[in-house]
Amino acid sequence: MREFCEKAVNLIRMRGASYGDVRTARQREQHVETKNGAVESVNYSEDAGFGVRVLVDGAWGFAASNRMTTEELSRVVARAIEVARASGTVLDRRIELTDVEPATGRYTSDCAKDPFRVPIEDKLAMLLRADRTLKAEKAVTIAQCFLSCFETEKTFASTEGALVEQKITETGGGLCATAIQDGELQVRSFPNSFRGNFATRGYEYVEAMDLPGNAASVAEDAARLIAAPQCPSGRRTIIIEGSQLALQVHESIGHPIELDRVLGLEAGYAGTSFLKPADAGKLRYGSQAVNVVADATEPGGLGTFGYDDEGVPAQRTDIIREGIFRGFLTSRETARVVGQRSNGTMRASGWHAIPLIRMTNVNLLAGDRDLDELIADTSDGLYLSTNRSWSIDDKRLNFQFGCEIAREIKKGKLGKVYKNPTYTGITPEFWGSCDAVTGPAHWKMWGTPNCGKGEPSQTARVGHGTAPARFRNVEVGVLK
Amino acid sequence: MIEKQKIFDMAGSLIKASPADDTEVYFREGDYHLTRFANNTIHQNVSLTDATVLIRVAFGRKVGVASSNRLEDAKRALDEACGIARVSADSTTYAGLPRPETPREVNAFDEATAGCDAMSRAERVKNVVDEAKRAGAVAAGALSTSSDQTAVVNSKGIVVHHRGTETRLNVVMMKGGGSGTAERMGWKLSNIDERAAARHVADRTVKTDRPQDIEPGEYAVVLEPEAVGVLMRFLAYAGLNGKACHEKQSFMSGKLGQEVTGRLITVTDDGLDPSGIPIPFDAEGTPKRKVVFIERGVATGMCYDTSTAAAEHTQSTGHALTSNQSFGPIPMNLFLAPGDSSLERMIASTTKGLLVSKFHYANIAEPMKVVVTGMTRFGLFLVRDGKIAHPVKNMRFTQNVLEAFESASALTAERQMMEGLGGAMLVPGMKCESFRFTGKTEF
Repeated sequence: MREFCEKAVNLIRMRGASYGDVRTARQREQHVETKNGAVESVNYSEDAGFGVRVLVDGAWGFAASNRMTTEELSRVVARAIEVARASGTVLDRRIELTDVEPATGRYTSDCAKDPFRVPIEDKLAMLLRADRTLKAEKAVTIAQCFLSCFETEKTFASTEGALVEQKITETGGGLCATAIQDGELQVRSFPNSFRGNFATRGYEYVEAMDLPGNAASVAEDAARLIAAPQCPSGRRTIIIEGSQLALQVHESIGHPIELDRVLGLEAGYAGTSFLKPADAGKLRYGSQAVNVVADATEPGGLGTFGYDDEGVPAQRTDIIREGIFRGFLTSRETARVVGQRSNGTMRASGWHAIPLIRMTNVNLLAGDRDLDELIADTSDGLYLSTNRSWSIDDKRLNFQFGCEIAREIKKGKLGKVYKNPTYTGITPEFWGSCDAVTGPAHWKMWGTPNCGKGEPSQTARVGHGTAPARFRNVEVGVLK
Repeated sequence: MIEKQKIFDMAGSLIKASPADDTEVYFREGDYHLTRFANNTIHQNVSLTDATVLIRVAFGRKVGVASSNRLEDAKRALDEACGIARVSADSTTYAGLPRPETPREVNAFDEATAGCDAMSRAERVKNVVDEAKRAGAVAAGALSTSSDQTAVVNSKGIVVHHRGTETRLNVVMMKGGGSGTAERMGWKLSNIDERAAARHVADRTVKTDRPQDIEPGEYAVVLEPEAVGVLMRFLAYAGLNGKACHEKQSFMSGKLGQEVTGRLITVTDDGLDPSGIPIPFDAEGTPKRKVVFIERGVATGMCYDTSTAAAEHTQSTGHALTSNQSFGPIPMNLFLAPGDSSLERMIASTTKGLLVSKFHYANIAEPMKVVVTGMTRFGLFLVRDGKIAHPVKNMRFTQNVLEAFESASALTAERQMMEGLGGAMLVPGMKCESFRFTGKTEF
């Protein structure tokens, strides 16, 4: 691919673009799913192609194709230039890029056991074992077990001299038990909802999840939920479990800190942000207990890589320190607007897409409390686990989350199960109400494999490290 | 694009080479272009060529599915699919491949839309931006044009082909605390009047500036078509799916013949209706059949693919998704029947209520009851004594969609086409006598 990329860069230079880059990518995926004791689906896909991005007279153009031939490369470069010239006819502000040292190198993510070499029959046997355990619980109407693996090999080259190659392997999986009774549906998942948890790891990650070994407790929870009372409404102290907190971080910190949203570049679709460029270093985002970093170097994180899709090396940057907002996720284009350097967050969902600012691993750093001790220290509250629904406004202020399960906390002890818990809040007020984050022993990486953004719509795989945390005076149970 | 006969030949040779009992080749190829703008500037502009060859094989009831986006790798995809099927366990849902039926020809291809170049899209975007500037507003949005061809060939004798075009314009404007939006969609770019859409949005943007705070609670609402569209999408997602219905996960499960919502509500899916974006067959090559899901509030029908039809001892209605998806059949050509009212008459008939332009980032909170939560966006107004009193800060709703539709007292005669559940849908505006707002935000 290096030769193809070098050819592309030469063509871009010859056609007079002030900047240009090319990305080739080859992706393969395998998805295995069982349902109620049978194979639901096993499918495999391969996808390859290249995309050319050019800057001509301060305007962007991008063209891409699945046909990786020399003739097609010429056509695509010409098309990208033509598209950029069209962009230049509606241009209030010329696009300029912040400087970056042209990177050269190769990155390969950690992978002890190639997931594509593990026989499908072994994968099915493991999932069907978990399925049998789920279905052994009579209340479970639908048992579903999943695993997926992804492999991406990509090469990036730019007219500035960057040339990087990366190979990233991602795996994950999970369980889901659905109980349906009298027109009501309750779901319990492991280790996370929406097909489980994911990491930049090999098949060893799926094996370590021990899906069969965890199926019984998932099924028991589903049975308890279908018979449980409705979660009571009111202002409550809540402790949020790690996977739900990961989505809370994602929606109410990860997205509003994307500088393209802040600058209005996503206004036509996903929305903007309540943050302004001048808020960095000043705005109180949360309590002193809240410390957040964006860390593309976190081992195994689903948002871990060697270089972003502008060739900027992976970095760890401060987002919130002791509750004060420190800085945004940036690209070469947006960093220039605020007088900074890119912190390397531009990623595309494939060869066919332009890179956008995407979360890397936006992690809530561990605190110093023990979870048992935190529960013991809570006289009246709820312990909320595993996301069931999410919604947030277009500036990322007003949110509402639904969880799969709530456990009552009374006089420092976990008590009865409630169904349909929801909670709602306003972002800075909510993070300001965080009075404790549990310690490193409870801290874990969660992978969000389905982060949507942009037009045409792109899906990114991103990560969030979290440890369960406590929040005071939160509005709970608005659903009736 | 590749000639139709060449696609059939490629698929035919794959089927001939396949050792499986059943082999299905789904092929799709197309060009997609999207010009995106923000801050009155084209900031993203893409042009893409791609293809998919998706192969499903079965040895008895052992099924394998594999795909590639490169024709030269189609044989490898066939081998992968066979390899998967050979080691897989029996599927309990596979019901064989459908047999051939001749689909009705539909026309949804427009040469001008297919041939629209980047400069033509930029000219239309410039018209939108000019309207925004005239209003002192900032414009954002996107204009896309695409053309594609789809073919399905299977070892039972299905050989079908269709080509189509699609275009969509999304306009957003912002000025001070005000904002507005409009969506236009179809298969002919010439049917989209970007200037008129932009003028509507500019007017709305000016009128929504300086919104006031009101308290959440139950309100009568006049929902513009784009707001109704969001609710329709979740109604379809949660329940108008033959698989979800069979698995008793849908509000329609076991309810055929029973009233499920209000008497003004008739929901259909019709892939052949020229007022939508027609397509003659589904991803299994089965001809599209009209499905009446809900007629005057009563559950009357469901959509099926081959597998779910067999489970329900009925015929496929031509609603299969591609075989690499296990979600089940869904309506991709949705229609909500119109009424005889207008937004103006609905507002005039409202003593106290809210006019809602659009909902944002909604999500299902309780699937069986179709309880949806989300925010308002792009214009929320208090209506008092039959008139718009003032714009209101955005609010969160948490509402059972079936109950909202139960309370529908009027529908507009005019409908709007917009993105549906993977396809397009045509919906009117609606007045609901009761709608639940559960929170508010700061803008």
